[in-house]
Amino acid sequence: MSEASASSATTSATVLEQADAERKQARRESWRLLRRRPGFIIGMVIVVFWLVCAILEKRITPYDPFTYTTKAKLAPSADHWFGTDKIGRDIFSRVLAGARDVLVVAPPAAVLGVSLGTFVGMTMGYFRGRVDLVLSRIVEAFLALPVVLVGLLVLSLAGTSSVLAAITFDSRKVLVIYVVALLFTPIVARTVRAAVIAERDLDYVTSARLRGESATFIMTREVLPNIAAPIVVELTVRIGYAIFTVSTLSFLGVGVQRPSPDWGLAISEGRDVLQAGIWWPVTFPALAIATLVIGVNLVADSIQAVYER
Amino acid sequence: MSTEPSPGVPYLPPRATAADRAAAGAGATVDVDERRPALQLEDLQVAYAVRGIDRIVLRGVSFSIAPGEAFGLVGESGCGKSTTAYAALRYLPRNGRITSGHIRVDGNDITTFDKEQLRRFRAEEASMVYQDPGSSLNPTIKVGKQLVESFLVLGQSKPAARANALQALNRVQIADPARVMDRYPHQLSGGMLQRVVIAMALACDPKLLVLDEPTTGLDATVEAEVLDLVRTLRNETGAAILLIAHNLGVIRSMCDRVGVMYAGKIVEEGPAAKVFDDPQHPYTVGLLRSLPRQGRRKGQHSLATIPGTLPVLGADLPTCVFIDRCSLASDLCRSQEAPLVDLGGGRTTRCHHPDLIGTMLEAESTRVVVSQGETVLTIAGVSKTFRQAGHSVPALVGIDLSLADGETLGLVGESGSGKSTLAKAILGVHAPDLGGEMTLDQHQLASRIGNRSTDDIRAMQIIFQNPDSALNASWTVRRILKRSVRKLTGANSVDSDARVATLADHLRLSPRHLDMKPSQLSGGLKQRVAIARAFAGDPRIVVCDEPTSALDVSVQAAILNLLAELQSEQRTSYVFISHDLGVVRYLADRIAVMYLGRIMEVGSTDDIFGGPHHPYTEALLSAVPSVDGEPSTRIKLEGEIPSPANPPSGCVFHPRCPRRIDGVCNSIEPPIIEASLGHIIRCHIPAEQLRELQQSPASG
Repeated sequence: MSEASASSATTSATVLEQADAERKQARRESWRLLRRRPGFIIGMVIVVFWLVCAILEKRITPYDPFTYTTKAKLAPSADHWFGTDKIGRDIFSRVLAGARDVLVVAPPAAVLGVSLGTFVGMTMGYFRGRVDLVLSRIVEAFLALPVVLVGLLVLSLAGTSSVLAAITFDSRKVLVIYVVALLFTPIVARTVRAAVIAERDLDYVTSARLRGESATFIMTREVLPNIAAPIVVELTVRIGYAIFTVSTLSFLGVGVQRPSPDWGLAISEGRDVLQAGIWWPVTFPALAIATLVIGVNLVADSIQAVYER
Repeated sequence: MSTEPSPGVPYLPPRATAADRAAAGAGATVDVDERRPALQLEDLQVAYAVRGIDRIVLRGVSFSIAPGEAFGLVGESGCGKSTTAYAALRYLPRNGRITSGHIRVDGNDITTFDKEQLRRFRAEEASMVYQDPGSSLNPTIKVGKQLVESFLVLGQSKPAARANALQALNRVQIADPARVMDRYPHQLSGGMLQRVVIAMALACDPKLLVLDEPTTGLDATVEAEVLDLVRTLRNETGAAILLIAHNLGVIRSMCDRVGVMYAGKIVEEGPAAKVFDDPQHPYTVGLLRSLPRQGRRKGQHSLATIPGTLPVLGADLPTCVFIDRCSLASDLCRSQEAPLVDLGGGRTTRCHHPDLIGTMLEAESTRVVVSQGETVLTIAGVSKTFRQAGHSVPALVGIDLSLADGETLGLVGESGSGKSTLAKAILGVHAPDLGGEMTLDQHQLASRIGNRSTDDIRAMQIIFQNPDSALNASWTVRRILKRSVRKLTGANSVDSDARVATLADHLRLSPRHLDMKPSQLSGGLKQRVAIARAFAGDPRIVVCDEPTSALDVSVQAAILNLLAELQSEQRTSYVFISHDLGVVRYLADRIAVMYLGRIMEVGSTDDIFGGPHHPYTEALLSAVPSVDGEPSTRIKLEGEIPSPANPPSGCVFHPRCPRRIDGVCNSIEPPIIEASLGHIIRCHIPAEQLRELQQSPASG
């Protein structure tokens, strides 16, 4: 018996080495598959471009985005590629600089929203029963409301109370992050709930309960790592939505305030001259939003496709 | 995809009907026509492309099946059985490719067929039945419509197709076919679904029927019925059958000839009875010896295991494929490919040393029998009722049991009998209904795990059926074991590291395994990790919920040996749930037979197998196809297992009982009779009378 098991151990060792190598190869394979997708490459190029703009801001803009440098409402030309706006600021510079506002607000909002949603979703999925019943109804009630309308309402009603000032560090951007995150929470919670329900009936969870683990331990240490993939996918998708939502709120005038070069705000400001045939103050920021959202979604789609392979 | 039939839709069409063919020749016995084989594989090689690299899976498989003959393929998972079956119909997955060899069906080489010829071949000549009938049928379409479609594809008119579909259901002996036609697949039981799938496969009256594990996952009693049906249909239609199964008993009871596969080669071939009674290849010998058979018990023998593991997919095996695991391996075996030796009588073996097979000694290790001590666990009047959509579903009804120190209690019964629910009630996962009582070492056990003391939690652990879902896929083995040690024993980090090392050593897990994740381990190793985890806190009782049913027989043997060893060293008591009566007989000291949440019979293993039996136990025992070919008179159970939500009156078993006494069994709950000391049967028929009835050949 012992002889038999000894030879069994050596054979299985080689088998395992092979398995280990194959696992590493599989990980490389995922990355290779990702790189092979044209969508992923294009999406990454777009996202990285806007990230660079956001980080370097004034250092790469040809003009100062905040001061009017020349005559107002100049059409696109060699000097001003995207023209100038109605108070004479260079639109090209403002579009590049505007990436910072949206990228400072949207990704943190998505991260916060996914975190909150994960917490709520895990609570619903793990405990089921009455907890799930009550939370699910609340989540559904929120899902029935249009995201932008609620955001508009909350942001325009948000006064200047000291409590609010304290939790937002007196920053409008932080307030927008909170609002967008809260708006995303119910959607994420539903996705996470479904993933947790699929996991919680697996035997490893029963086994953890049978050694007396607490619910918190089981949820955070046992279940969470196993539902990481759908959460990461959800996060990338939410970033795309967050960019769109943040820009919409700025456009409606309840997000980032003047004189920020934020794209939504710029579209809103350029809107009144559009009818006079001055199309450039609206078009270029709009294209910027479109490219960033498309870029993020291309990356998200590729990640999702590779994860769900 | 248009020319590739989706798996699960067996292909059809007319030509000679079964009746024509029956009239033309085949009578009660099947004529084995030797002239033109129904299926002939010639040196077939198949490779799967994995990440751009061809991995060879079949290394030259040759066999032939005569018309009307049943040929079985056996072997452990990964040996290429299913690939052979799929290749025989050229149904290989997209990355599979026939690299050389020929497949002749009725004389035609189907490897040369173009798409249209292939479509017609699959439509008219051959059919396949898959393992899981549930996934072979579309869940959103009524069974009748799917079955009618099988006939419509043959070009029949709607009314004709409908009539034929009904007739096909009659042919597979489904009760009330007209109603079955109107059901959705989820409304039918597994056995009924498999009958529907077989009816679809037979729609075209195929010359060749390929069955890939057709009864795996079905209960023994249902399995026996499906096998009976296949036997009857084979006699009726005269179709040649290729049967894939890992259960050697099934192959023996169904097939004329058998091929034993290992690593993509047939290593031994011959008449089924002869191969199983007198194996002539070291692998076949090992496979048969690893089975707990002929009433073997843990106290007498440990089971033989085959050392080593199956070569990895696509490994380079220039000489004998079995060389790494063979005890007869010589220099000759290492340098030359094993020759195909003709043993006469239609038997062949692929071995350099067939003359030495007789010298392969079976290790006669005897084990110390664990003396049974005091009662550890008592269960008195435990019931469990689930609430489902406003109805109460009694899953357990008044269970009384006890478990002694160092004892193994086997729990057997069909699925849905409440075995796992009982296990979970004992462990406190499902709190039982109020009124019952459980005691551990003479003190009362809280019904819920959350209310139990650390000592009580530590005392009872579980080993699950499926190690894949039982181990957290994102944890390393070390983390899994260490967490259990720390949580159960309260040891500090250093002590628990030491304990993990001891545990791993004990279960023959090498230290390198500890830093791997479960997905990197084989099924057998994963189950060892699960066992190590269960033993992390020196438990008093371990519940084993079908711990070996997901494993191959040679791995099963190693796990059963390990469980027996651990028990003899640590005096652990086991509650052992299994549907495999051979396994239960090997390991259990006492057995409880459950039906519909009630215990029908309890007794020592000898009592349960020796009789007198409860009529249900009798039926269970007779349903098991034996690899030893012992003649058994099958007792057929009528109907399906009733819903626990609406149990029959009187004795819950009476609607299916072949020995029921009308007027008594259907109205009065059966008394508990004590056939002998500690052997309890819940039946209206007195023990002596049961014994008499069961000694005379059963009537039906």
